[in-house]
Amino acid sequence: MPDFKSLVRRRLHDWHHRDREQVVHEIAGHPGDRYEELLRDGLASQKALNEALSEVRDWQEPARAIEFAKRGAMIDREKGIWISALAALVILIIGEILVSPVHLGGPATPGRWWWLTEHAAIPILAAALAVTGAVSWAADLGKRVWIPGMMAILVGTFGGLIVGPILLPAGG
Amino acid sequence: MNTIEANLKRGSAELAVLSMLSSEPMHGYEIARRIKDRSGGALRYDLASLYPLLYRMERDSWVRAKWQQAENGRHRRCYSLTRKGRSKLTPLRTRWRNFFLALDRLAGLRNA
Repeated sequence: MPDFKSLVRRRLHDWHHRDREQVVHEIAGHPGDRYEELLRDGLASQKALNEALSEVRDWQEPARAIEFAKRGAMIDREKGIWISALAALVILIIGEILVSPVHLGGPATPGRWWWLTEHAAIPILAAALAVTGAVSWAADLGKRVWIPGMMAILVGTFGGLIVGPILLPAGG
Repeated sequence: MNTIEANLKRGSAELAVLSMLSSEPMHGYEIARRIKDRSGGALRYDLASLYPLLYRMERDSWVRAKWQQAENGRHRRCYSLTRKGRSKLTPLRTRWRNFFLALDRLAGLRNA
């Protein structure tokens, strides 16, 4: 059996992508299966090999198309990070309003939120970033290993609950 | 292949792949082989057209892929439909059926 992984890798030598090895591993199975099928049909080994590899005339074509398909995934990830950052900002603003009545024009008086001061903005930001970052990371991880979306959010939130308290004293 | 056939093939690829995966999970070559067999050779997707589509569907969470060891010991990436992918199949089938019914009314395909 010819080493189809090497044959495909050689044909994609100038294609640089972080998932290159995985793609090579996967698509090498395609001409490999075709080769075996042609052998079963009675073709000689060399002829079967040539025909299996000739299915793709220009190997740059699938490389470009796969790159394009995968680039969309990166854009999705970037979008996720931006949404997380926006969520962190919103949480920070809400936190600021809650803990700093002085920002609303009044004096900072002890009340329901006595345990927080306007200096709490930093730990709130840290916690918000930790939570949203962890959620974003877990959602991304979920896409890679295929854990259900809700489970990804739960894992992310749980991660944030662990990371948040560690950052809180450091921020305060 | 003429332009109409090429465009139809490209346009119907999603439907063809999702339909194949609706019965059971399978790897890329198996998907291509079954499409070719079941369409009587009219539809063929080679490596260059199939894998970019599978990666796009995976990116959009229509399918999920998992490495599995085949009987011959080789590792294959098997694709299966997600709930989202399954939900895309019915509207896609409806759209294509409506398209061909409209074309039939227009051009009398059944009499061809």
